[in-house]
Amino acid sequence: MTKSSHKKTAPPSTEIWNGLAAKAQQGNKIAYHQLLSEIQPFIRNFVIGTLANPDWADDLTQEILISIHKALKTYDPKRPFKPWMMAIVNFRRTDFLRSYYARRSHVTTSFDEMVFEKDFVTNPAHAGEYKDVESALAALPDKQREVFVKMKIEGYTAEEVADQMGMSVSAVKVSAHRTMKKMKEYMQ
Amino acid sequence: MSDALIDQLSEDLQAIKPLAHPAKRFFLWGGVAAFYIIGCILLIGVRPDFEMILFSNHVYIFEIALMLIIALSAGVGAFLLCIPDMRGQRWLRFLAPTLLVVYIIWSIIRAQLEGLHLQPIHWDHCFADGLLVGTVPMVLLMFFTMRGATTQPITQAVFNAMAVAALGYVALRITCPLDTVGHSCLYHLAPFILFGLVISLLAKKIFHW
Repeated sequence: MTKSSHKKTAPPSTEIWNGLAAKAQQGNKIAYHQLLSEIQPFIRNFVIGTLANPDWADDLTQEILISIHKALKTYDPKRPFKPWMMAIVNFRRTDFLRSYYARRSHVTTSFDEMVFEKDFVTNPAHAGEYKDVESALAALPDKQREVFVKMKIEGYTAEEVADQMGMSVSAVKVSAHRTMKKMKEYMQ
Repeated sequence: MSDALIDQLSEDLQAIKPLAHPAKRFFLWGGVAAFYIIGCILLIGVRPDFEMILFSNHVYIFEIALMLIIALSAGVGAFLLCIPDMRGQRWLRFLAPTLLVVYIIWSIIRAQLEGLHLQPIHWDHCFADGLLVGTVPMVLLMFFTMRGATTQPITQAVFNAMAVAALGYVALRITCPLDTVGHSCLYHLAPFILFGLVISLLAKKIFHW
């Protein structure tokens, strides 16, 4: 199979979803259960990569499943299920993030529940847990480490790192990519 | 936790009748709205020079035709917008706004050539007629589109307002004998802009599902 034809062909599972969704509209509970069970990990994997906090993925996945349930009558059985589902996934994800940031939950915390502690590597209580990562970083050449730390830990973009270090953007990206690979090998 | 939810949702499932094709739903709404608007036109009274202007004034015909096309494209767009993936017809989101821009540019050019000629004395009359003409089609359109599940509530509200505004504008151009740019752009559109603003501000609540 050529690369282009591979791109055009939908994965078999998504074609199965079309049939299952059509059966679900007819009231087939088994097909619906199978559909939801199959799309649940797919949705979770999709949203987890797009969220700042992976803990939100389960809540959001459930909201999306409920939305799919509510909107099932708008699905056209003659059309593919995946684009219809993805429109709902993206809508609910945006909605979720918008309401989260509107509540300003990301900049406030209660003194009674210092939940933010667990999210920070710099928390001394957890210092020892990261020694493998720290030793892997220490084994890197200085420049490579600096690029990696700026991009992957401090959150600078490749362009910003390139500016700061007087390197080209592509060199920064290549360096970060190679370091990530090295780190993975080291950790294994 | 998700497994329990899946079990519960599957258990709650009942046979669902899929929504009819958006075009079918549009024509149903359009038919009822047209019928109602024709009734309103007859109630308000057709402008005295309607026959003459319809067959002789190309500017007037262009304006009416443009507005009918906007009503058609915004109406179909509104019915597609209440389906999450718009059945793959996402390009329709751009058609009605583009035509509206054409109308605005065309009105600006007309205003430059002819002047605005605002006549506030007809404000109350046209505003009230606009409300009469627009309310029922708007309520109906809201009812139809709320049965869907839009993923773009504000765009949905804007398209609903645009579809009704265009139809209402045509109706007012048939009943009101004033052809000046200022009067038709501002006073004929004012009630619909008001509609649009209100439902756009409340869109997320109205189209919440």
